[in-house]
Amino acid sequence: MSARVLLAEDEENILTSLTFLLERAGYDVSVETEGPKVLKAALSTPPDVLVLDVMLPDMDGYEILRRLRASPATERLPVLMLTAKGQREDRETALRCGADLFITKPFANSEIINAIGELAEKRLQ
Amino acid sequence: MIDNADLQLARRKTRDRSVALLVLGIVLLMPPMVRIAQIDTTVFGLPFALVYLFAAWGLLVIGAALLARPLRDSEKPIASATSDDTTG
Amino acid sequence: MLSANILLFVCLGYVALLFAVAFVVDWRTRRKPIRWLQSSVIYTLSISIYCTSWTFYGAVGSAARNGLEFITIYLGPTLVFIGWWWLLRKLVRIGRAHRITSIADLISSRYGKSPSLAVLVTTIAVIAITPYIALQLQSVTNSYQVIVGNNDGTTTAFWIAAGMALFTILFGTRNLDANERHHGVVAAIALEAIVKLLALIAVGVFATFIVADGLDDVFAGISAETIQGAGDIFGPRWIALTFLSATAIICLPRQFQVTVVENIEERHVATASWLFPLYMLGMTVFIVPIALVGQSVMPSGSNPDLYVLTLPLAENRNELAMLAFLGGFSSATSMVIVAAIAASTMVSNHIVMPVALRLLPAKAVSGDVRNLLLTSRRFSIAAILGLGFLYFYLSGGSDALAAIGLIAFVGVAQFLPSLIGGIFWRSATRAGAIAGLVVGFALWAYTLFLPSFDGHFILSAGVINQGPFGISLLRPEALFGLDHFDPLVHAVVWSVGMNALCFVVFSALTTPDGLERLQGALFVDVYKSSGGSASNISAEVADTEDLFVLAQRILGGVPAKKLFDEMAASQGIKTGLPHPTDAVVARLERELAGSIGAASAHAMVTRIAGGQTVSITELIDIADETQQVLETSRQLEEKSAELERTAQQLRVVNDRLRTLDAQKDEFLSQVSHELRTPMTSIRSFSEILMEEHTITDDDRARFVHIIHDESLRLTRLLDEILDINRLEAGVSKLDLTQLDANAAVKKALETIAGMTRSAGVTVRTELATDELWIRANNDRLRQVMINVLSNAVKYNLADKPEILVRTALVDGFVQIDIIDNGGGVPPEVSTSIFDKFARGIRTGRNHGAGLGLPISLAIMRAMNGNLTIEVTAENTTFFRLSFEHALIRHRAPAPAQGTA
Repeated sequence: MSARVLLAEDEENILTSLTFLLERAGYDVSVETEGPKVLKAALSTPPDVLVLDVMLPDMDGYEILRRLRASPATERLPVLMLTAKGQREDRETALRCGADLFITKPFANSEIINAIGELAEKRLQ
Repeated sequence: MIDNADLQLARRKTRDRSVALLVLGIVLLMPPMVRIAQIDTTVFGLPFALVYLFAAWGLLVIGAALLARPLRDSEKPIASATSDDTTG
Repeated sequence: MLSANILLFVCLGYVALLFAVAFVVDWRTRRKPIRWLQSSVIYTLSISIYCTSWTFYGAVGSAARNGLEFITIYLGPTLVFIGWWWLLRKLVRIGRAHRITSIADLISSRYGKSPSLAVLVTTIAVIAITPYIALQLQSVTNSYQVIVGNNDGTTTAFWIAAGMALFTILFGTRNLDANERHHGVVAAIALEAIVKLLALIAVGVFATFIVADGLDDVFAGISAETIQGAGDIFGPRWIALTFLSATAIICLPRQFQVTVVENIEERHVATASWLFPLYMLGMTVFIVPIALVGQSVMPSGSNPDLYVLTLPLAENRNELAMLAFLGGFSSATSMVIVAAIAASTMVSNHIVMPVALRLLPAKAVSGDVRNLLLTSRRFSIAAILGLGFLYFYLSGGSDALAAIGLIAFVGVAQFLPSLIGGIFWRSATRAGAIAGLVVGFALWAYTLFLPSFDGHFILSAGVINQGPFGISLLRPEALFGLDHFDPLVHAVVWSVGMNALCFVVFSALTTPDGLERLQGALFVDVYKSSGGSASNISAEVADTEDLFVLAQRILGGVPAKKLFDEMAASQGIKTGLPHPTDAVVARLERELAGSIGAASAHAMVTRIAGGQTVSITELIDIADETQQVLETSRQLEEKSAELERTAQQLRVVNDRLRTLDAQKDEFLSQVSHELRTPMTSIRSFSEILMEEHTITDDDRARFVHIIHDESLRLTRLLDEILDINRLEAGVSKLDLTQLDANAAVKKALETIAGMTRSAGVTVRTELATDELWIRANNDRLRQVMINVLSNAVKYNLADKPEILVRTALVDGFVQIDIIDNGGGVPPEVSTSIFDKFARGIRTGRNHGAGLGLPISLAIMRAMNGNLTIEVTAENTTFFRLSFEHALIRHRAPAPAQGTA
């Protein structure tokens, strides 16, 4: 059974490339583009890995992550955060909010696929 | 220094004495005290009032002479006042 | 009888001796100080000028008339001297520390270097001592007449006055020390002091043991009444006379001169404290015997004031008479010389110089102050002796000696309240001093001085006896019915009492100004400021509190507090003021120099710390000093207000800069974010294309297309960033032309027509019927409109998307409104919607909204227009472009030339 990855990202082209890469790597990919919907999807059917962009419409990634960590179902959900802001504070905020990994855009494809693989593996163990 | 405390006390005493001398002078030479001298008697053939006034005056001069030097020295810095008292 | 020639010969010889002594001492002192001449004995002998011919001749007369009362004249000074520690020492310390030149100088310095006060004190002093000088002339003249036989007294008096003036001018104005010391004169009067003491004792011994047969014989059969005088001798008059003499030993200008100004070493005062009373005791011990022997031996009706001289003459002891004459001559001359020096110093320093300095051009003054001062001093001496002579001439020389002396005593006693108050009471003010002096002086003149002329001068005999206009309440010698006092006691009570009262009341009612306050503190706390050591004047340190007050005035309260706290902390003091060390003074001076310049700072700090008060070189400043201080403080206030304004402006600019800096950081962060997003896609797809070889052709084409699109997006973004920066910085100036807003709207709508059609958006227009002239850049205006319109198309989420474009002229402004129904903007983001990369508008799937609106706003502003978002109905986005209406420029009709 393949691992389920939820992509929370509002940039269409980035979604396209990530979906392409993940599906070909054998993941079951679902997509959400707006903050509240991401939260709802993650809580109702928790994926194996959540790839979460910081800058989402209506609710930012940090807030979503904080809420997920507050719920028992998603308390330990592996989360990879993406951001286009490369500053150190962003990394710190992300890790404090409970992100497992943090990747800055633009990223190498291998980098993000390996990271997701790592998280999925941990989840399945 | 223990000496300094003593010295300061001595200096205050000296100044107190100078006030006392001044007060004594005023009391001796002003009414009502001088009226006591206003008696019709003589001392060694001299009128009492005359003798009294000059005696009081002389007393004040002696008092002032005795106090002059200690008072003058009481302004010297304490450290040197103990050692150099040979001049002047 | 002695022959006039012998007397003249001896007199001139004696005078020549005095000249020689004065000359030699002056000459030698200038090369090398003569030690023994600077001793405390010489100092004491110079103070003995207190014993004038009034003592030498007059005391015997007084004893003959009023018994023991004469002794009060010496008891007052005795009390002052045995209490030297409490008053004289302070006066001498102040005199030395502040380089005081006279009593007028002391009083005016104390009250803020007031020129008016100096003039007032000088005037009173000159008026008060004139009778006193006349008295000396009279006594010498009388004694001369007694010895030589009757001749023209006026001529004698004139030559005596002239001779004294000559001597005083020669030796009193030889040099012009900053400290006003006259070594030659002091030596001469010390010699005279010995002569008069020896002469009086010689006459006393002669009278007691040769004329009479010892003391027993002198007092045999003398009743107590003769000694004690008639009536209540130890009553108010006794107290008043003692008080007056105590006052005189301080306030008489000549006593102030020898005791304070001529003082070389402070410790000399200690010796004088007993030696001077002893000297007076020696001078007076034979007064009563001489008076009694004179009364019993001399024929009735002979003047008791001259017993000292007539007694030896009557016994044919010419040598003794000669000695007595020289003693009296010495008493008179020494007093006159010093009195003239003291008075001339005051007159020249406080009256002549300030006037001269005001009248003469500044250039002439600066080099020649010395000569001017000497000349004015010489003239003053001559004038004062002239006045004395005039008084002698007018009064006819008939008064008893003692009475004249007492008038002078009461006159100078007017200085007492201001003097004592000035050195012991910090709150004493100039106004108080002036009020006291004026009132006291007026009462003295009215109750004592003018009545002494017996109706020959200003006040008539009628006024003296019945009061002015017959108002008996105002009788000069029984003011307001106070008639059970002796006239002298009456005058003392009224003049000194009212003087002191006015002094205290006016001081309490007025506030001292800055300089007055500083000087007051310096004088009252003179011991603190001179470090408690008489020999070490250089170690003078200031009262920190006064330095603090000064710092507050110049630096302002808070900075001054901070500075002093810092300095205290560096000395390890947790609370309170720092010790006034040299370091503290220097630091303060530096801080002040920053505010008012180094020179002024030094002047102000040394005024407190160094304590230099008045020197001749500062005379130039004295007249206007108070004014200068006021001026300085006014300028400082202005400067401080200006600084405050500048600081305020700086704060505003600084705040703005900080905001701008934060905006810049935010902008860069946003730029970074906006650039990274398209780069992420580009990199990801390029990697896919590079590494994967199993991609379908469709995918490949799609990915390349995305890369292309994102590259364009990047380029556009960079263009926009550059564009907006240039617009905002005003680098790119737009060419504005006159154009019709309606036409511009139509053009823009045509350009965007394709886009609206494909998006299915209905566009309605409501354009004004008239042409709406504006000044704008055509291309840029279209850019703004297309930007707003395309936003309205792209982000319109309505089912039936609609856009309304309308133009109107409202209140002189041309408005272009672009309204769409595709979801409104919440009011809270409407203000930030024009911020670069604002997130508020990014609802739904929109991308790269970032710089469109900020650029549009920047363009509109660069064209002197504005772009606003209007909050109206829900789900409605309403942008308004507004321009000032440009007046239609009528194209002038072609000039009608050659139509005819």
